[in-house]
Amino acid sequence: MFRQFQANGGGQLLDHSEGPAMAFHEFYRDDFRPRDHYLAMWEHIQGIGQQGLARKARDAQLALHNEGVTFTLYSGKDKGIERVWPLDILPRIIPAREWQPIEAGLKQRVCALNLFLKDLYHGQQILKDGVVPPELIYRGKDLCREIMDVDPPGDIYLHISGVDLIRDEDGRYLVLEDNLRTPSGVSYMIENRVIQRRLLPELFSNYRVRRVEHYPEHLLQALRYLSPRGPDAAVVVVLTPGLFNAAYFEHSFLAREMGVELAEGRDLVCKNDKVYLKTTLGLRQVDVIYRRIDDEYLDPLVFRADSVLGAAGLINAWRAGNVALVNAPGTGIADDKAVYAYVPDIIRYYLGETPILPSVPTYQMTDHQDRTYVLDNMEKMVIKAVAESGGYGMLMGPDSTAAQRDQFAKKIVAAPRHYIAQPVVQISRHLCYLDAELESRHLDLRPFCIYGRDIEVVPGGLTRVAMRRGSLVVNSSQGGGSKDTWVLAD
Amino acid sequence: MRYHIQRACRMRFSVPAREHHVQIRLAPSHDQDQSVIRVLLDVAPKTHAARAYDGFGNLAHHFAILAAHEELSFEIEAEVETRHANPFDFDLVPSAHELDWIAERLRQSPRLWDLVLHRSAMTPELPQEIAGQTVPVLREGRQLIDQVQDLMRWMRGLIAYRPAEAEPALALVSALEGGAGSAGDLAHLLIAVARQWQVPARFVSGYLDAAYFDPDSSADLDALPQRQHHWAEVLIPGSGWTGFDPALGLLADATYVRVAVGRDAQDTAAIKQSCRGDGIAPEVDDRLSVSRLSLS
Repeated sequence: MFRQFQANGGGQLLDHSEGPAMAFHEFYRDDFRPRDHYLAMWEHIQGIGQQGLARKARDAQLALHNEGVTFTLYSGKDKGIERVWPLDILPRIIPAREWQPIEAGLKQRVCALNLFLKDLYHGQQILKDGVVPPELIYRGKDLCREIMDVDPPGDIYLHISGVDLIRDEDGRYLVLEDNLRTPSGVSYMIENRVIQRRLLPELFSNYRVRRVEHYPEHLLQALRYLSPRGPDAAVVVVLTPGLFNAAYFEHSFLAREMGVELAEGRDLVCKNDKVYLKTTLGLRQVDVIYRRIDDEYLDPLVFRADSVLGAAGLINAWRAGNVALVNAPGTGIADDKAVYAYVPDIIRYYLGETPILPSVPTYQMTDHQDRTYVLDNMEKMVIKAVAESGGYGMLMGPDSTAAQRDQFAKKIVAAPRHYIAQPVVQISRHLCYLDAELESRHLDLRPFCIYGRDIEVVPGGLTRVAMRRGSLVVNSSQGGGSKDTWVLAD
Repeated sequence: MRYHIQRACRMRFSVPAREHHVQIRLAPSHDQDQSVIRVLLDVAPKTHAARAYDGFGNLAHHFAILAAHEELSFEIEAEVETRHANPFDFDLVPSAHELDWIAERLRQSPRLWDLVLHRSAMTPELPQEIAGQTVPVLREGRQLIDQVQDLMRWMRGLIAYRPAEAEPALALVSALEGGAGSAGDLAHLLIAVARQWQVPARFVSGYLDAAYFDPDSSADLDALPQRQHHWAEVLIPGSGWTGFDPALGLLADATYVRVAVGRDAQDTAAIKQSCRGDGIAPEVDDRLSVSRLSLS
């Protein structure tokens, strides 16, 4: 189906999107008219025309290249190659009335999951009360025994989180998964905004878009709040695995924007249960470490003995209360995909509230009935490895071959706790400008939350777009693109 | 019984090491079966040593030498009183109710699930048969404590205790294939079977009365230098954690001094260290002396 746009001094704009049936279309209503909050944008891009849009798309790529906004692909023929961050120049717009329940729902979820972690690593009342099965937790790969009974500063584990949201066929926002370890993407959210504002200044002036650029400032404030020596004396560092990490751009970006040191493990040393940064002026005590390395590499004395990415003695310093680790170790068990199915119960248990954001129905492969159903209906399911992220270890049933399904079935039977299954949700679509054409693509949204003195949800987030037509895989590490996300003020 | 324990360790590096961090689990634990009277730790070069409890409640000491050094030594000296005189002295839970008793403990203390569910290369899922012998299954009508003793007897035909082996193998299969292993390997096998029975079982590292190493004593052992010993504990209904030493075929009593417990030997590692240097492991001289001070 083709829809012709009014062209204004720059050639015709043709929309190659398929009809909005099935998946919810965020841009179009069912009658192919743009939704009300997109009318101004619709008029604006018509005014710019084909050539104008093509020029702006080129400018965006050039700006991203010049700014060094890159990421690394982890799969496919370009595996390991650093690429310029793909940004679609047409923004996603979320009206205030839509954002309010998202914000409230995310705060509720993060608050409950933080209480869950505190309980799991202390009294485990939720397990004693049978709300979450202990077997599920103790079969999980990411329960961190080493931090049992440790009190992190302020009882906060989940300082930074990114919760992936999708919209179902009816346009309802659902939580797809929680990212509670070291979620990435926030730097791309900010760069997208900076470039978008530069490219479409007139369009910006037509909307009251809430800011996201203040994120580093708010992050620093939250990190300082955790400092054992008080916020004013806080020395904060960003701990990176180094230059070859796929998210190194983001690590250096955040350190630069916050005005703090970017450190590698070898730059830190622990002494008498305190952590120090090696500087040309001698050792300088560190109060807060925003670490972007996984738990198992943090401290060779406690976790992997062969790790050179962390610093020996870090966990003892944290346990002694002399340094804050952000996020706290051990948060991975709360975003285990098998635990995800229990999050509504976790919210009800700790907060006594009804979950604001619904979850996608999830089948536990440890449950005989669920497993039988899934094995009989694999072509209708998304099957996910519980401890993987970034779209890895996943089977998209409708796109899979019989051989792939057979392989996954064997894996499920061999290790049922390692997998969950969900029905395929036709996630929403949006209009994108791709290769000089307007096309519809599926997308999701990763808003970011900061937990310091309070829980704050950044008004916006990273909209990830599946670049291949019909694909539901939006992960950047698997070739997904992005859109700037405009949350509108009241 | 009261014991004096002295453990001295000296490491020599071929090239000076720096930023040397050491964590040790060598001090006896203070719990319902034993009381620690004193613990002294001396480190050279001089440095501050701190103590902390790990996720299994084990006491660990840690210290660091940042400056370059060719030698590091430490000595831990402890006095401990053990009380667990007779492991059979408890009120039996009728065998028909033993599994209910365990289920209730699991409900009250979910952390026990770790000691039922954990599988590793050291405590793997076992096949129905090993070396042509059927792995025992839990039987109705017989007390669990008796079944674990039966299990110890069964194990002796499978892995012969080799006292010269100080540490358990990284994978139980190598001890099973070789037909011989350390005390730790035997403990791992016992734990693996108990967990197949859905009974909580844990690995213990500790010290043994010097009399076990005396060739004139009743125990059937060659004279060997004393070293850390390993055994298993099983949660026995009515009694609680009960030590089983498959290496010696005994139940642990007051002659066993507990240091650390965990899912397997990885959790109870006596010495963990990390340093910057040439990557070549240091030459280590490790000495232990356990002397009985009194019977009461």
